[in-house]
Amino acid sequence: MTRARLALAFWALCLAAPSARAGMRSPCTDPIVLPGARVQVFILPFVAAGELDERGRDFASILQRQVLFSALKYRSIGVEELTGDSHECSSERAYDAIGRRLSDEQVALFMSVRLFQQGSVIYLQSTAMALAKKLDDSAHWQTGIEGARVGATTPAEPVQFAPRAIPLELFANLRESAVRANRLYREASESSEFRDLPRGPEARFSFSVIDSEGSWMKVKLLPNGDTGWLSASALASPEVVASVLPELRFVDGWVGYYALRESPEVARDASESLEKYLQSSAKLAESEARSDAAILLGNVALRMGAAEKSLPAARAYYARAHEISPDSTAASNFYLASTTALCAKGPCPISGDALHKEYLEAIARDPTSAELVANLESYYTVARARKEIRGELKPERIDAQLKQIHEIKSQLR
Amino acid sequence: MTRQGPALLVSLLLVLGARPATALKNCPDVDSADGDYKVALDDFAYGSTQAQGNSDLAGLRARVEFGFEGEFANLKKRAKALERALNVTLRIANCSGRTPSLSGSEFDEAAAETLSDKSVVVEMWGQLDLEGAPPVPTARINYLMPPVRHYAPNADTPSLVRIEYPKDRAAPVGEQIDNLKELTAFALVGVATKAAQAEKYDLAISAYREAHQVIQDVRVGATNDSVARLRKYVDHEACQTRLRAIAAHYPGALVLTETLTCPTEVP
Repeated sequence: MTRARLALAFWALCLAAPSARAGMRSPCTDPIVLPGARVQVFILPFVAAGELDERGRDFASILQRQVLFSALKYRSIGVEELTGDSHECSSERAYDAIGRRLSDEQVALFMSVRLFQQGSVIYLQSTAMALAKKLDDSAHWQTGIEGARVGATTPAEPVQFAPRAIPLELFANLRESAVRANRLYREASESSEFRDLPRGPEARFSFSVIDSEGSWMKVKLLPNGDTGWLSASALASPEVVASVLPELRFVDGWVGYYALRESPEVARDASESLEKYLQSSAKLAESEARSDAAILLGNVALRMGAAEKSLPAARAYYARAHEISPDSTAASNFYLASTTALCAKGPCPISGDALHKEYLEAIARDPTSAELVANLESYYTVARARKEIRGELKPERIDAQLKQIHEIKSQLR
Repeated sequence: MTRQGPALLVSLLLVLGARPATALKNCPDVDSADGDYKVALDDFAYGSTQAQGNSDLAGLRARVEFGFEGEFANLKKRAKALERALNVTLRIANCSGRTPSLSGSEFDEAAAETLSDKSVVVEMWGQLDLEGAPPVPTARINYLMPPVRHYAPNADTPSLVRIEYPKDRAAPVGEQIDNLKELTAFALVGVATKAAQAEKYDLAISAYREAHQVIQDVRVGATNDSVARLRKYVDHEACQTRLRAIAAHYPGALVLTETLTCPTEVP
């Protein structure tokens, strides 16, 4: 290991402090994974069609800065721009290289973007993906009846956003913006002295954010310890970029969702970003991403207060997720499990018959979900004990269904 | 997505001609008996010589390729989820040089049966042209679902769906064509229909569910009678497949749903 890499490793350990916010650039073949950062966002090199190769790299640099700046409100996060060619930086290779370096309960969020320019428009499509090691990303509720626990697991599939058509004028000064974004200024001003940060496929460095002022971040460059200022708005204001790329709100909320396990005070920020994503994507053909966002909102709500208050709030978000995408098994699971938990403990927001029918309809759509079947089993167990959520369901019918479930469960595992 | 998708986009070659119905050119990639479900990708045609040299249409072609690449990644993602649960593999069959007519008249019942037997779940081709005065770039993309044509030859069941761009004549075509969700929706309908016939009920129902979800997105901002009818077909077939599974004592959770009834409306 070279001295520079040893020094970088030392500083990487320094960045492991719980309050660290760090930016990085490293090759896909040898990515930096901070050992202590709770959440680390990796921005893969953008894949550009035609003449956009250089622009794609510039745009990736700018987005790295904007994602990091937006995430400064969270603690213990890192945002990294990966560099390399399309072979070295394929999603599969990046997931594998980084996944192997994650420590337990650490989360890596990946963002990959395809770009295509034609005339005065840039077409862009993003995908986001979460990878975690030994992280239980499920919610469970006790029903008050022995052996009748309900739960649901947060979707782990990549989230693909619909293509965006963005006016070129927003990126007209992309090259110049990327050059400015790569400068370490002495003061929080573009008129102050500066020096360029390393660029190119082999560039490898980290910085820790130690302060912010307006749209500027004061950083300590690693490994040499130099300090300076980086601009987060070299291209356009973060608000403007997020308005044309709603997925940045999604990613920011996703970072917050994972960060709040360590810092509950960021729940409101995470919630706000996810809400803004849902508002700005209301007319977009991406129901799966929108449903996932509503599930994350519900999960955030669960952590925002005492169970008796947070459960109804979370259930409302899960109902929204189910409404956005009735075919999503994850949304159905969260909605039905949280409704069952509410009904078991107090006033039921829907009738017992309606709840039972919704369970059966969900299983009719996805008979392979072991989680749905387990929740239905808990529902029957609660219904047997509580007449008010049993509806017209006869006890003998409940017993017959439970008997079937016991036989089915072994096949579903 | 695998590296295979972009490489095969080369197959979106454009040839001239709204040619009369002739025998289909053979597609060796379809013929391989590997058991994979296949998305057959034919060449696109230009509608006229004037269209062939038009730069706007060349741009439209590039956007179709960009949209296709993204949507195939989406389809692969969904297929991967089905693969994990239900052991399904799906791939592109590159049918370079094959240019069906715009009407799709070559795909009679015998041709559809042959394709279905080779596990082709959707075949895609199209035509780019200039229409009106002043000339406006237009695109017509055809999607044939051979299993639907073969197993559900009901005249009301749309086994061949043509999507015309602009969907909304008031909006520029470039703003609409980048979202080719139809490809994923129709491929999943093909998988589901094929799986239902093979009595792979869990796979059929899962694929119908995924198709239904994507059709919901296809309908955002656009209406198309064929797509609306296809959605009814999906609803109807998903329910009937479930009932057949229960009647056949298919193992699994479907038995829990036997009290649910199907809508009486037949598409």
